[in-house]
Amino acid sequence: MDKELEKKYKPMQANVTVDLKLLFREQQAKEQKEKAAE
Amino acid sequence: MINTYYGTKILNAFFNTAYQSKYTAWFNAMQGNNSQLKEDTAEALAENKIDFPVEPVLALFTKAPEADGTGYIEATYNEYNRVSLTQKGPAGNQIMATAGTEDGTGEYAGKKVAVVKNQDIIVFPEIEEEEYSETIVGFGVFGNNNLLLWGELTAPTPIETQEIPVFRVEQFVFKLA
Repeated sequence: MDKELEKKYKPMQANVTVDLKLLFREQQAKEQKEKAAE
Repeated sequence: MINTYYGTKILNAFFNTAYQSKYTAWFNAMQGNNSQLKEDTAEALAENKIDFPVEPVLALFTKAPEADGTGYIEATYNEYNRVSLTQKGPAGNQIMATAGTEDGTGEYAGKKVAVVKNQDIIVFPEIEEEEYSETIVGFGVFGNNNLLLWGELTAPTPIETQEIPVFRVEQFVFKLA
């Protein structure tokens, strides 16, 4: 690691939770809507 | 918190939609408390065994999007570029992710969550533009130039000339609940 570059580092942090239950429901709803439209 | 409005887009980003039926059982099981399954899934992500239909690239926001995904402002310094999440980082490790599960907290208390972290540093271009100063408040993941998902940084982070915005190892964390 280049020490000179490392001195310039500005650290950021992210810590997020993805609720797959909600995502899956949304996906199912979308598929049902598409089927109904066909 | 990820905006779940983008649920479908996240699925499209993480899992090839052609295989959705294949993942139905997986998603059903993920709603339960099967820590082995979650660990296997995190491991599959970590080992790049899951196909990405689009290359996910990470962007930095100085203004977060509205609920419908519009209205965001991306970092504006001259040298700024989005960073691919599927490439290898400076230490030669694939950027995303690390396998494992942990106990959920808050609204996810009592559930096991799969944890995906960056296992190499995520480095954005150095800011060479003179007298530049902005505050990064959030991030977005784009695929084919579409905003797939976004979230807030743990804390707004000011950046300025001659700095290099980075996420150090294991500081960019997704938890799958």
